[in-house]
Amino acid sequence: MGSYEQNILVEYLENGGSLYIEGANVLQDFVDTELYAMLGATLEGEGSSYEGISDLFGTDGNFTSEEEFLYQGGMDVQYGIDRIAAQDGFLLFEDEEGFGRAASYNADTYRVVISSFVLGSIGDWMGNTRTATMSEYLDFLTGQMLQDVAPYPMEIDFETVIVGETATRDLTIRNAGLQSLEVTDLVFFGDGFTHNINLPLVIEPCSEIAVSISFSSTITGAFESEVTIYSDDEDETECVVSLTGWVEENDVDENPAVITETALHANYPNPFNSSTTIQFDLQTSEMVTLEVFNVPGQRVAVLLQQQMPAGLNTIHWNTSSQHHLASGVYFYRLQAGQYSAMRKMILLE
Amino acid sequence: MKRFLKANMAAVMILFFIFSFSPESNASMLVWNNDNGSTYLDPDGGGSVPCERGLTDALDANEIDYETVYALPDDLSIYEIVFIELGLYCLE
Repeated sequence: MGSYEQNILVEYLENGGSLYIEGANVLQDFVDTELYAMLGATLEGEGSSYEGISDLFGTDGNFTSEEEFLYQGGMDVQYGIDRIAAQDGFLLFEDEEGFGRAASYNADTYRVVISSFVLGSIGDWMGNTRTATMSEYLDFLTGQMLQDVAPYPMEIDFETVIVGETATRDLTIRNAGLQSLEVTDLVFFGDGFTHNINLPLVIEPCSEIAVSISFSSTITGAFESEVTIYSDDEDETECVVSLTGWVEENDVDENPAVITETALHANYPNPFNSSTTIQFDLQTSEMVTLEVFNVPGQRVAVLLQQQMPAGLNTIHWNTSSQHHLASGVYFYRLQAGQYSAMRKMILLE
Repeated sequence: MKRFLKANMAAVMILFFIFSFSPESNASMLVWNNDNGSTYLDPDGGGSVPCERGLTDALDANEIDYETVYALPDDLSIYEIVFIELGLYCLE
């Protein structure tokens, strides 16, 4: 695209137009031009120096939330695809490594969607279709996307909480739409969780509000709950976010003599869906490394790398933040001083 | 005078016909295909297809009328949305 065409597009946007641009070099093509400055996103990296992509995930906090596509463009288009960073806009799609590949920008007077993957190169999969994604793009670009509730994260893990203590996490509720969103209620399913806001709550277009969610209990064990966000988003009047936590007694230091040897226990549950608990005994305080490997032996996660106290230690692993983990067998290895042990676990997505 | 009116009437009818029945006369969406002839592997049917295909297929599936051009018009003010296909290569 030359400067002549760019000037036409700048004038078009200045007069309230809506623009959708796709192409592997969608930003690289005109970096530092007047048009580039109007797109609400920046070039994070020229894709040509990186390896290919295999999956695309809709980003939480936007109208593409929870969408997932396999990228099937073929070798010739897996390289050289711009990495996009949202500047004034918001990311719409990220690849399996978390690099942005599409973004939207509502500048009030005009709207833009840019994508460094061509729409045709993603395959309809798991109920997600190119047609539905285009429908959302059209709603956004034509200004018909009214209220759009888009919370993130969609799963909140409070990890381990001691009986009588309280853990808090932020749940951000974003309005990805173009009109004010009213959140009328937040309802928890199950005990132990509360929020701190006064309702109803009004969220301006393309804005977000953080809600503090607290978790505590006098009962030990695993807690799996959810919070339903009720709003005037006509497409999604009820939006559910899952909540998990684990409550235990603070008795590790009270009975140190019980631990006679260092040991790695079987994780539970196993098989597991998105989170599992790993426990191990330490005879003495040790520098501990707890890692997860896939079958080919590649390390996929480091769960722990620090000094840990003697006694029973508990680690909760939530795979939801690691998009690229496929269902299958994984191994977790504990190294504590001279002790080393490995166990098998099965992830079922 | 009668002949003059008759001739003008015929011209008006022709213009009316053109503007009424041209498939692109009321398009408010524009697709500018500037993909430089690049192709991708079709995830559905296999084989190489033009980059524009996925975009226009998705517009068709949403029953959107659009006009496709290969050179960007000077005046875009009549279009509600402009879709640009840049394909896989960066060219001026």
